[in-house]
Amino acid sequence: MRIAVTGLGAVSGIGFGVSENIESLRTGRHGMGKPRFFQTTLDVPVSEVKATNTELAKRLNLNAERTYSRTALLGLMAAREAVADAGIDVSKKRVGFISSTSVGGMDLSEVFYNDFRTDHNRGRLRLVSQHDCGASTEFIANQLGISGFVTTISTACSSAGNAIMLGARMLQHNMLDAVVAGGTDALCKFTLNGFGSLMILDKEHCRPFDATRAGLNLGEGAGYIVLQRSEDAAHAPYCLLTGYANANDAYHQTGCSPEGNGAFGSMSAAMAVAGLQPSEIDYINVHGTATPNNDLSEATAIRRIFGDRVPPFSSVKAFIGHTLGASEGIEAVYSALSVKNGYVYPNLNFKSADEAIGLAPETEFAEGRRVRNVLSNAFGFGGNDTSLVFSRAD
Amino acid sequence: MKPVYITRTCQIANDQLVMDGVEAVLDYKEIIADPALRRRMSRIVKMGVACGLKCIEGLTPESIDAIITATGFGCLADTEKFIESIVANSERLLNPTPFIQSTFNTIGGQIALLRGIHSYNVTYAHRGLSFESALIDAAMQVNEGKKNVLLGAIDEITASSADIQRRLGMTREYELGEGANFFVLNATASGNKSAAVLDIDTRSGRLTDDKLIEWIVETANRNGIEISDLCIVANCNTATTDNIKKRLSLKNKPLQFKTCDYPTLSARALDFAINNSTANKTLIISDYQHINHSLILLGRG
Repeated sequence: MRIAVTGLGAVSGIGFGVSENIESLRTGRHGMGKPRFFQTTLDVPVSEVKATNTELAKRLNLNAERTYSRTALLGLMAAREAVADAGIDVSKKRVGFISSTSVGGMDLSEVFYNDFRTDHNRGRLRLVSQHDCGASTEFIANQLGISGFVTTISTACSSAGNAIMLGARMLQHNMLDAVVAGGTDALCKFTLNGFGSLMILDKEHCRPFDATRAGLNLGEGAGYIVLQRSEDAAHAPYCLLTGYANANDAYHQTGCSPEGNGAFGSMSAAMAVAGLQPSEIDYINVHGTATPNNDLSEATAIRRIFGDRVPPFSSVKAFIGHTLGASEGIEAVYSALSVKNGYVYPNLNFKSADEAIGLAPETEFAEGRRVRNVLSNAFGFGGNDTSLVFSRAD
Repeated sequence: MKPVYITRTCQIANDQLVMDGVEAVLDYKEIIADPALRRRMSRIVKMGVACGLKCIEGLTPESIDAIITATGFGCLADTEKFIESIVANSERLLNPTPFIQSTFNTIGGQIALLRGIHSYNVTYAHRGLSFESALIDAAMQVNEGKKNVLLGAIDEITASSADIQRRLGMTREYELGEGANFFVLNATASGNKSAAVLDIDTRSGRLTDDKLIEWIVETANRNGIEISDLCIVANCNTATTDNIKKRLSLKNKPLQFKTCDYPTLSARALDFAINNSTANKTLIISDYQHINHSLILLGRG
């Protein structure tokens, strides 16, 4: 069975919609800046979607008087674009929606908590009723009119990769005919302070794979892809999803092993599912958060697989930040277009190679390259490592 | 999909450990030996990790092909602790432990870490269908040839969440509950109580008893089972159970299971059904807050 990618949708700090995102990647316009849309005293760059919740609601033709979690708004924007792009009839029973998020409606819960903490009878309930991860998923599914299988995955930063993988497997098992899969996450105090407490936020603009890299920048957004069996596609697909795998590093709750065992496991297994040799991978969209630990561990795993023939690779994290539960949703969209149009994305802010890594990423935007297969990585807390393989449909 | 067999069950609820339906000694010190690690763990993490570890006791790490967990609300105590520290310390000098442990996949990740299990590891967090989603994934994994798939569900009560859920009207029918339930799934039966999962179906939104009964009949028909032969485990309110009793002619009296409520209670209902129903075919009917519904059909191994 061939699984086709037939629809794409994305919103991030570098654009509303897929074409704005690609245009920013092409012209080197990143999304980093001081936090403007949520209250924090932390002075670190973040990649915010450049709109207030009210503006987002208006763009989505929602009643702007009502309360929505930002996670739900961002998710609806990207998922709606993906569904329209694929031209699928979502009213059919065997259309599924598989979403992921790492914090759900936390942006509202932390506002609720300010009143609630001193008196448990205080705090507006509408600010906390959307706290759970399933709330944004159900909201998006209802807005889209999807009434088939709906669920939410939450495995920290690899969440959306796992959502896409589940979608592909449900098509393989003939449990669904079409599935919208990806993830959404809004920035909030909770996650920014969480990564701050781990001391892995760079106060400067992050520099993936660079010798001077000193941590990550967070971002927000959403990305979804539509998957169908290729014979059911309404139009020529962007590409095929040929490989997927999740493996566990089982080394540390937040850090990654020096040998990159989990990353090695997920990349090798995803390529095995796709039936590909390392020489057939033409581009790797690396996880590349820009923490000293992640990039070294990921590079080590890549070397173990590709030896001295490492394909072109880059991290888009300096453009959009680490968007956590949304990251592989957005990056799957970029990867699909890499296969379709031969795009290779620039790894911003890379200047000097790290001797321990010994690899240099791509630094210029390219198009029309021969890209047969793209390997895309997403790694998360709990040693949770996911890799996807996107391949040419012809 | 081919049937999958549940070959082990393990439950921690009300400070009691129950393995394959038999009460056992719950000694956290023995299960999680590292005292520093144990101290750092919040109640839900300790309960979930211990339950998962007991469920795979004696199995080698290499023989476990997947760890799939489910939680409706995740690690609430850790989440609140971290939010509180953000407010109380004005975003300065925060202890990262509650943040790390607040992640929804903490329990699955910790089990993998403590036992060195490098296989597939995914967590579902989708309200009253979190466990059902995980069960569907687990059944697919077994059908894909995976062995010893560890499947678990965990939710906890905290004082704050209890107050919030009360204010939201979520405790009108039942008091809140909590617990951890883990299972090992395989393609073949083993052990004297192993049950086969034959069908899983889910619905969201309000469901009248009429529609529910129609759905039960459809499910039985699809699986070629006489309704009268079914043993029903009712993880729904007693009014619905009474209606089912009245409307369907059943040889076995339905077993009323629900006495409390939390998003992954259906996992405990599954444990109950496996270890208590003596019928050949058992149907677990679950209703979470009248918004999430599921039917899980079991056969004997």
